[in-house]
Amino acid sequence: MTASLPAGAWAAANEISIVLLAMNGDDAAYGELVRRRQDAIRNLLRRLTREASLADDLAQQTFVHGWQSIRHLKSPGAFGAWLRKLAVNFWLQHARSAKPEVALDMDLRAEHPVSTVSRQLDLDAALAQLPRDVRLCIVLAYNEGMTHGEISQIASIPLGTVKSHITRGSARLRELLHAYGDTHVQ
Amino acid sequence: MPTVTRMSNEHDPLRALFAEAHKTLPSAEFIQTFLTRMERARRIQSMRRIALGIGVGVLAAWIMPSVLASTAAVMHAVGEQSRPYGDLLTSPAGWAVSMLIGLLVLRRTGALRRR
Repeated sequence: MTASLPAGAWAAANEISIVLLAMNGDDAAYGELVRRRQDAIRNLLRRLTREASLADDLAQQTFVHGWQSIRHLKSPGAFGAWLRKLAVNFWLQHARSAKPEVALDMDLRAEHPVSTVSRQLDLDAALAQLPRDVRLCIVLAYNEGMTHGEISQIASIPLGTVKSHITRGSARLRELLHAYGDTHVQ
Repeated sequence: MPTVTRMSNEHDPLRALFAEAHKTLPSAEFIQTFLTRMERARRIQSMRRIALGIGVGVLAAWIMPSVLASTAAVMHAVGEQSRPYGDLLTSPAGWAVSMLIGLLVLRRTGALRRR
C-alpha cells in the first residue's frame, strides 16, 4: 500500500478527497473507505441474507470489486450509492444462483424471549419470509432510507412495482412480526 | 405517490426496528481479510499482465518473419509500380503541377489573404 497521508490524517479527511485519492490508485485511501463503509454494507447484506458469514463474504466481494473498478466511478460524491449498488448486485447474483431459502420455523420464538436480540432475530426471520424483490425493496426503504425512485434505479424494478412491494411488504412484515410476538409493530 | 417518498417517520415502529437491528460490527478481522483478498487480486492481476505480455511477445516472434517478408515484398512491388510516377514527379512538368497544387491549397486555407 502507498502511504499518501500520515496514518492519523485519514480520520480527519473528508470522504470525497479520499475517494479521489482511491480513484488515482491510492490503496491506502481505498482501505480507509473500506474502514468507513464496511459497517453499513455488512449490515445491509445481513438484512438481505440473514446469514452473517454469507453477508460478510458478499461484502468482501463488493469491496474487492469496488477496488478493481473505482477508476470507472463517474463522480466521487456518488461513491456510497455506487458501493451499495455493487452490494445489491452481488446479493442478487447470489440469490439467483442459490436454491430457494427455507423459511425459518415459526416456533423459533418460543426458544428466545422477546429481547433486543430476539427482536432482531424476529426481524431477520420475518424478512426472510418475504419474496426476494419485496425484501430488497423493504430493506432499501427502511434500512437505507432510500426513496422509491432510488430503489427503482438500484434494484432495476419499475417504480410502480417498488411502491406496491413496499406497501404490501411492510403490511406483511407487520403481520409476521406480530405473529413472532413483537406487538409494538402494529 | 411521489418518487421522493422516504421512510423518514421516526415514530414508524418498523423503521425503529430496523434502526435497532443495525449493529456496530467488529471491523478488524473483516478489514484484514479484505486486505488479504486485495493482495491476492493484485497478484492475479499482475500475473495476468505478465502472461499477456509473454503471449504477445511469443506471438510477435512467431509472426514477425512472415510479416517482414510480406512487407518487403509489398514495398518492392510498390516501388516497381511507382517508378514511372517518381520520374514524372522529378520532371519540370511534375514540379510545375506540384507548385500549382500547393498554391491552390494555400489559397483554399486562406494563408495568402492579407490581414
